[in-house]
Amino acid sequence: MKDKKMKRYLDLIPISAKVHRKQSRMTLICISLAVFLVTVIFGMADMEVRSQRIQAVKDYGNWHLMLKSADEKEAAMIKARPEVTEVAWYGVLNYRLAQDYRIDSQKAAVCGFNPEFLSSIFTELAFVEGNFPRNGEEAALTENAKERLNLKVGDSITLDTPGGKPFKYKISGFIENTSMLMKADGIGTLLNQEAFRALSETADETFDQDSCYYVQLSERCDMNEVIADIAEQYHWSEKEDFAKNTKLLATLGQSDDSFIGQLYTAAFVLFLLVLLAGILMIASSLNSNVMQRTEFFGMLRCLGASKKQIIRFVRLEAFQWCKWAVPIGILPGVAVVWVLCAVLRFLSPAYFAAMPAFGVSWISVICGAAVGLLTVLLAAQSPAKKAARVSPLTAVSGNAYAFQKVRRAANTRLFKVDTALGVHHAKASKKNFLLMAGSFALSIILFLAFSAAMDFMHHAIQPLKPYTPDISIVSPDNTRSLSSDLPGRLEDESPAEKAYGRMFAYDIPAETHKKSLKLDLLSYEKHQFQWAEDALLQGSLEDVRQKKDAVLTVYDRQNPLRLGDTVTLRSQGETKEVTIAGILSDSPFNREEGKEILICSEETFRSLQGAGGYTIVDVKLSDEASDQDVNEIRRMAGPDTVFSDRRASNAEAQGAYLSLALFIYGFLVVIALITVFNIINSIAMSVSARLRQYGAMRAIGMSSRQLIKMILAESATYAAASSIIGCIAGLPIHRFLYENLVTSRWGDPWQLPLGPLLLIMLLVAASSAAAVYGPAKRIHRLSIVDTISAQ
Amino acid sequence: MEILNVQNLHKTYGKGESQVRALKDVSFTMEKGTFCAVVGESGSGKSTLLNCIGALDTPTSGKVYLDGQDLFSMKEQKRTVFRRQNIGFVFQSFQLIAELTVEQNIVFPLLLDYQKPEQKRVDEILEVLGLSDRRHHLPGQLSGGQQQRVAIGRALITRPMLILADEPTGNLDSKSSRDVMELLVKASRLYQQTILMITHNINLTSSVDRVLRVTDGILTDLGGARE
Repeated sequence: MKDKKMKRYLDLIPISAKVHRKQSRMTLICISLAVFLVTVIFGMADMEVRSQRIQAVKDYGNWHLMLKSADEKEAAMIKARPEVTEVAWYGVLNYRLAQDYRIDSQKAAVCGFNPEFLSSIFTELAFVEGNFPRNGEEAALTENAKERLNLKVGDSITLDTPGGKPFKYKISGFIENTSMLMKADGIGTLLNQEAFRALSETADETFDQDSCYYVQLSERCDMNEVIADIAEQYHWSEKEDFAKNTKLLATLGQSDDSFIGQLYTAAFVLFLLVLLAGILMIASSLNSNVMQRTEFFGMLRCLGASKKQIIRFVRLEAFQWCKWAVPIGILPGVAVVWVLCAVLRFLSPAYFAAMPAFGVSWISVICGAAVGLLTVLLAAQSPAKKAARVSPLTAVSGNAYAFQKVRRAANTRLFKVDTALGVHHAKASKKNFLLMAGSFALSIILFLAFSAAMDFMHHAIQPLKPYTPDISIVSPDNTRSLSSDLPGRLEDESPAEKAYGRMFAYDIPAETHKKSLKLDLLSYEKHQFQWAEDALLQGSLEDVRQKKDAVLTVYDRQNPLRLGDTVTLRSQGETKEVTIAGILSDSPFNREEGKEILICSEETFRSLQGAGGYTIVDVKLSDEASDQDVNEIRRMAGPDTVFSDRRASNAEAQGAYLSLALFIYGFLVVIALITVFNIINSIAMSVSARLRQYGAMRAIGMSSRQLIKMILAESATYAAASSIIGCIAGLPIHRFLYENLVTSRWGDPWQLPLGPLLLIMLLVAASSAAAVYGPAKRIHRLSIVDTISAQ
Repeated sequence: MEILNVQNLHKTYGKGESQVRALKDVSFTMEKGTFCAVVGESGSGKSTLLNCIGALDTPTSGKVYLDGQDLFSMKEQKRTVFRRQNIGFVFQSFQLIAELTVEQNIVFPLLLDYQKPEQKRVDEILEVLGLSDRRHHLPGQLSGGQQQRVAIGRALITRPMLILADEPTGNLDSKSSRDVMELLVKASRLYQQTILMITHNINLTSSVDRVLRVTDGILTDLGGARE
């Protein structure tokens, strides 16, 4: 192989990197890890904000201000403002489906708007067939009407109104269903402004009727300032005259809501910590090979290199590292974000279809690259300064390496010599110790800080429970009129995966320990008992299933009922006694103040309340179930029931949970992985820097086992110190974030995050122990002769 | 009494064309209390010989018996402990542990055996070395000559069967070299210590009992120097 000719002294850099390949590789890994950490966390956060924005637009629409009191003239004036991109009128009748607006006996809500409402504000709502109503004689319907009423585009429909006057329309098209309408089992009727006005004129003032203007602002303007200016100009007050789309404004960073402000503060603290962790990781890695570099630079000084030349050498060397380490850190960072977005699209395709498949978060790439470049260049100055301080004679004699920095002897009285030397190695250089322990501690701090975000998530969004139904069939007025064999028939004859009924008896007067109280009694069958198993705090579900007087209650601080208590129920003129045989931690039902929930078997319920059918039957559908299947279930349920299709609202809830959970757990996993890699790499670097010293120790009789014990002691010292620093700094930060994210909103007081704390400390301890494995293998292979002759 | 027995030692580095035969069929023995010097040119194979005798390096073939025990039939861990307890090393570059004081460096081999050093013995060695007033100093606070004296003290502390010294004066000025040689001779006489020293300085052999020469990996016994 032909060697390249050296044309200038800086050509020594790639040659030196080749010779010290292992050392260079470890420095590269460390810089890459730090860049990866910043890129991935910032990238995930950016994508999470984008996903939240998509959800906000999907759930509430792409508007920023809603004007309730504006008239047509005022709306036109506002539309003329340069910061306003669109103003769209919207009217609604019978939104809650409480009045008798019906199409062919089906409950109907009526909305009126112009085409720009769909093209700019509710862009997610698309026509599946046909067009927007072109005149006052046309109407569009939601897709659910198509099959339910067997309609097609061009057919005529009659809208019966509570005032008695019927309105005839020709169907111009069908639009996608909305979750609210599906849940309430209504049909949506869309009219243009002209038709809606004609209809609403006939409506009684007391009817559920509303109209407003949705205003979309330019994303480049200060939205709050514009909104405040409009409000001041027209003397409008918030809530009464206008409302803001708080969630969308929050995702655009334009919210002035105090809670959102607190969320931003928390996010700022979290990202400052991530930046700090990246900086510390790089600084600690560069510092750990300072000793060897000092000797090398000292030698260059001996050979006549000026201080300036050394600094240029160091800068260029650092730049060479960055040339590889920054892209190596950024590319997997971007890839991880892609994978997370892909997972999100896979798990909730309907909801996150708009997420970019291969979107790049430029802010994360810029931050990652900046952290890598700036920190490396700044941290690399230190060896040059040290080299300048080493006298040429000391450097050339080799003593610069051997006796650097040792000011105090190791304490061999407190520990055995191998342990004492390990502890001493860790603490030998204050700067190195602080940087190493600091970088490990930051992992603990980061983990604790992000675990506060996890608490926020658990409070803000609930995942779908296994018992959450896709469809609910409710007996009118909550009586027990649903046939007892309905669940069985649904399971046998429809694509229902599970169907399960409950009987309810409300407001039963009761007495326990001579205190009177009110109870809601309800029955469970096998599926519901099975789901309740995980929530059982005390007692036995088997007793409740088998015994005729055994019931369950749900834990609440205010609930006076305890396990074993006897409760006397007064119902239908009779007095019956039941015993609390179990306590559940949670149930799908909300507790009303002063009213407790009792759950029993169907047999017990009938013995207490008499024979009868179900109050509610819930259905869980198989994944393949279609709208036709749902219509079949509706037919089986019969016309005199309240039918609630919850699939769309479940998908929304699941989508919101998945998006937040994926990113928050993603943050925690990335931090945990970085912790492991950083510790393993840092210990390996520290060992590598002392390898010659270890060779000397082997030569004078230290066994490899003792050497490993020594490295273990060094690594344990870092772990212990970082755990202490991590707790001292991490717990107040966790508290600050928790109080900002959770206490301020839900009032839950801060508690010691014992679980996450133990988890991360265990991870640090395990990584510190595992970090010794690589060096141990190296030491085993270490040739004593080669190491000592290198001196 | 025979302490060291080296039989047909061969050491070859590399393969094929780049093969170097550093030691060629080296055999010799040493009696207890002998101070022996190995001389030779740079690259002659004398350091390789010392490394093989001290079990720092493994010979290609041949045997090394110390007090009748075959060094290379032992397992790695056992050999390390045997080496620690029975062979003392003095290196050209001292190989002191920067984080330990003079006294701690001297007792280091005992500490590695988790033994409590006998204070009387430590004081005596420090006295012999002339380092009693420097016992709490760190190596970085000592001159080169003083550091090498500490290394000799460390080699003496376990009362080893054999001390191997590799160019012990190589990094020292003439005054310090003289001091170190005097100390090694003193140790040899005072404690009946067997010492095998490598040097390229022929002048240092005047005070030893026996001189061996290595030339191109072949050992020749030059007999006694002091007689």
